[in-house]
Amino acid sequence: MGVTYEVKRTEQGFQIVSEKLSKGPIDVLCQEQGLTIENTESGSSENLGLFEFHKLMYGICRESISQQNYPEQQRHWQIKRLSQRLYKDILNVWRATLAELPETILNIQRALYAASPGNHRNAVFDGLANNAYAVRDIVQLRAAAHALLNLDTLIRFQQKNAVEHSPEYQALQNIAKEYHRNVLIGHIEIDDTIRIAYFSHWPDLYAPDGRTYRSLNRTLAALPGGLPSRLLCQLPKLQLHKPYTERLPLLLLLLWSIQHDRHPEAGHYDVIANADTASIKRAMQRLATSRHIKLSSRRTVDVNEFVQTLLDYPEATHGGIVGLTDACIDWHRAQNERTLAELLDRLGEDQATQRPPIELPSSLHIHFLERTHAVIQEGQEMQHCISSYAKATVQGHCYLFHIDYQDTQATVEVSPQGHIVQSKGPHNKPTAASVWGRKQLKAWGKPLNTTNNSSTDNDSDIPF
Amino acid sequence: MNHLNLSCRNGLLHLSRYNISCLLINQETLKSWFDSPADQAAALRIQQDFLADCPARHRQLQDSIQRHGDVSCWPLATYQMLYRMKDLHDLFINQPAVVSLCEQGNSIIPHLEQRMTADPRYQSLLKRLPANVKLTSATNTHWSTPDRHLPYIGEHWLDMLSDSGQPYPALNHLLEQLQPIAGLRTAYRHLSAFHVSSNISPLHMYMLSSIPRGDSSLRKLILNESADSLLDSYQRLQGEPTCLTDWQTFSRRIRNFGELKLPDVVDRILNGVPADEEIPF
Repeated sequence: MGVTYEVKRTEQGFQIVSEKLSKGPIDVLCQEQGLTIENTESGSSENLGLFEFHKLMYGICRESISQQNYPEQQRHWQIKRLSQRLYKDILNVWRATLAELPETILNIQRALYAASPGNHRNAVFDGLANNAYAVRDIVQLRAAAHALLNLDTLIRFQQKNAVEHSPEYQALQNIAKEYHRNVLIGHIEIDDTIRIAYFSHWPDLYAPDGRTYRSLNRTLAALPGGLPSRLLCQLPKLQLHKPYTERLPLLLLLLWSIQHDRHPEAGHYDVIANADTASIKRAMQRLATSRHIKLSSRRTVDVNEFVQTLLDYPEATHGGIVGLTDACIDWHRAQNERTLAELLDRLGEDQATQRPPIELPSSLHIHFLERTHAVIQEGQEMQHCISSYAKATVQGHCYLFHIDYQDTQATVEVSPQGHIVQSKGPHNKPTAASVWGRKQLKAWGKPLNTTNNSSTDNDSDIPF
Repeated sequence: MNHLNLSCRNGLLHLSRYNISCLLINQETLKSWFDSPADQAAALRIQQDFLADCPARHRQLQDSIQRHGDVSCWPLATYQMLYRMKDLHDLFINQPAVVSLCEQGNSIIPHLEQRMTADPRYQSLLKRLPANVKLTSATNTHWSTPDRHLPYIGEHWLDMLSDSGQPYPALNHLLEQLQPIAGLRTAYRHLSAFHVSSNISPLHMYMLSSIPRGDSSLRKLILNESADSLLDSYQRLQGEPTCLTDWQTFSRRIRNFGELKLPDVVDRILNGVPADEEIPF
């Protein structure tokens, strides 16, 4: 302690000065596009959004600590301690610096940050602040802020679509065919003039044909939060037949659209498009239960996994999303059974796996897999690759255990030397059972090491 | 013949032991198949027997390849297809430029792109699209096999030699002048890179025959000179030309002198000034 840090205002922002900073002060530049942390000594710089205060704090403290020779293990703690010390000073100077920027720019940047936290350095283009209507929309409507964040992508989609459907492009294709060639749309250059022109009609950017419609308007007017900004670039690929004002149904539809881009044969559009929040949650819960995994409707990645699973189901359905999920679960189960039968067929008759040379664990939560068919069944139920170890268990190359602990499950592989090779829950994900099982079996497996070593010693006694 | 496993199939010499073939006329490749001089001599005798017995059309085709192309790297699949196509076969024998085109089927792709982009209909439609949208194009046909590219070459060989994709009188005139001259396979590949004016003579083509098509600066240096100037420069540097190889040597000597004109280049060489790439640093 005793080291003093001083936060000083500069012409372009502020800087942190201290005798501890042997390589010079840390400068923070504040511009309309965002903040920049500059380390003059190393020449490195980090760009941040105007409102990314916590990242700013962390960046300043990280740069300060990096100039001091703390051991690697202490750095994280030192950064945390320094940020607690400097928090109030930097907060005040950051607020004062922002207050000097034009109000319009601040409002736009604040709206962008609220729509999607992050560094939106290039989103605000020249001339935007002069369009009062555009600024008002960005500040008031989340959809307008997202449109600005994805402006170039949305413009490129509209222009590509317009060109591809133009008679000139069709005529060009016909001429190209005469020369055994195909004409393709390559790069689309976008400058600020084009951005201004398109953004003045930003709702049109979300429409497939560049003309907004009733359901889309109502969706955009009440666009729910919590949607990844990039996902909204899928909206022009969809024709909404009703307004979507809740997050989960819209998220599901947008994720379906991404899958449809990758696999145009992807079906179930009607079921997906008509699903409501409650039924989606119920369906996700059913899938999670059947697979022994956790699926949260708040996590985009989980909803995406849910959509991908539904799209595996090849037959058309006319019910709701819960019915589709049930059918999908049954279909996957039947598929698994078929795969299981094939595996068992390939492996031949059920054989005993080699038992460890020591007593099996006594815990009721731990079950040793004693037969090859049990190993294969474990792989099918847990949806991981343990079935491929069936032969190895017969030869004693590994010992496999199933763990049931606190309503979670896991499979643990122990080597003949008693080391835990892997401990995985369903779909190779970590669970409470995988953590607990690893700990228990690690303790159990210690004698295996000495047992195997002593057997090696015995082997070495053989004189050839 | 039996112990060498040599046979003749479709006008090609075939060594069944290794399942490899070459043109009947290709002595170098044939010799490379055998290690001992005795076997090589025996193989050459067998080759002569096959050549004596082979149909006249095979002989004509292979003579044409030997005169105007590169026997050692000639694509055999192209040869077999060429033998079957009567029209192209005749054209091939009579027009050395076609030999050069048949050796490299992939020249069709840039030729077609050039023709398409030069098409006035294409140009006018392109202007009606938004200026910021850039188009690209890709071929929709696989041209790599001879059954695809040979018929096209047969029909459009004159277009393919033209810079604009359309034949024109000066080009026709130059080709007629070059017809009996052998060894110009590389020179023909330059033709589509510039517009042939009445100024371009066989002497220019002699010099182009030893420089790669990508060497546009040397090509420009040569094409900027008249035939008289070329001959004058040649005579100052090397005396009287006797054969094509002399001209090829001349064009190799004047390489790498940057933007200089040919008479200045010759002056520099005569004064012992090294070319740019030879200047030691």
